[in-house]
Amino acid sequence: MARHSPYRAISDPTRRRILDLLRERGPQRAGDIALRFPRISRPAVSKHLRVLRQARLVREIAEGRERWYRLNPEPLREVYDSWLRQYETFWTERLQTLKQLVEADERTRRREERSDGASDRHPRDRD
Amino acid sequence: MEPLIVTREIEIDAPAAVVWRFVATAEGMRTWWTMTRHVVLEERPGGRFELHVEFPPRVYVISGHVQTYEYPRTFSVTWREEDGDQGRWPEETLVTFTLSERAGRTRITVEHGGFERLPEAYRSAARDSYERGWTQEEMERLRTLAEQAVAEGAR
Repeated sequence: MARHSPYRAISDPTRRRILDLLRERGPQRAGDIALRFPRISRPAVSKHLRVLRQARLVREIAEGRERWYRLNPEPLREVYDSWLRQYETFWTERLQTLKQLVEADERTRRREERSDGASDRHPRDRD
Repeated sequence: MEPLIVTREIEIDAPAAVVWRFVATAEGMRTWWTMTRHVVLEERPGGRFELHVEFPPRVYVISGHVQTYEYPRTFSVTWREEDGDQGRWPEETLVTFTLSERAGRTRITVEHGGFERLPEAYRSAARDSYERGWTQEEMERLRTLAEQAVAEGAR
């Protein structure tokens, strides 16, 4: 299964609150997390945890019969760095436009140079 | 503070003198800065630089000064953005174009650096690509988490 995007995982406010909880209080059991969200059903909480786990934003640690969830903030760097990536895209596009324009201009210039040169050297060849 | 820099390069089949005309003169810039309706460039160190770039519905006003103007190798300008939502960046970034010619072809490198000087609030443009109801406060928390990740990675 493809790893889920952290973008999608954090687009949901409940999941962002789960991440906050794990950051503030350290590793928690699923039951502890569910208690913090009394208006959300247990299965819904499990589903949120699964999405976060698939996006690698939380890690599941089994201890005896219990499962603990621990925050793994690493993928959030990727989200945060996306700001810089916008500029990467921006400059990539600008440079490609520049290249096209300069090369078109250069081709025209070389063609003109060649035909000027040819007519200079062989004036009688002209019609 | 870790420097935040974007580097991009491309090779162009034209001599540096030709590329320079496009990159480092106002007249040349008007041709390849598509989406740009206003270009000011005073072609000397200390000269004024301004672009109005349109990404509908927004217009970004970019302003700065020429730092380096060394024909036909290095051209750099300070770069400060402003848009309706965020106001003007409180600090400048720096954009440097470096040209190097070999056998009639020119490699051009753009480095856009100094992003680390901007406060987090101005980096919130990142939100636009994935946002659904993010608040500034949440962005701040995200930053805390991201920095924590950096610290853990360094350990």
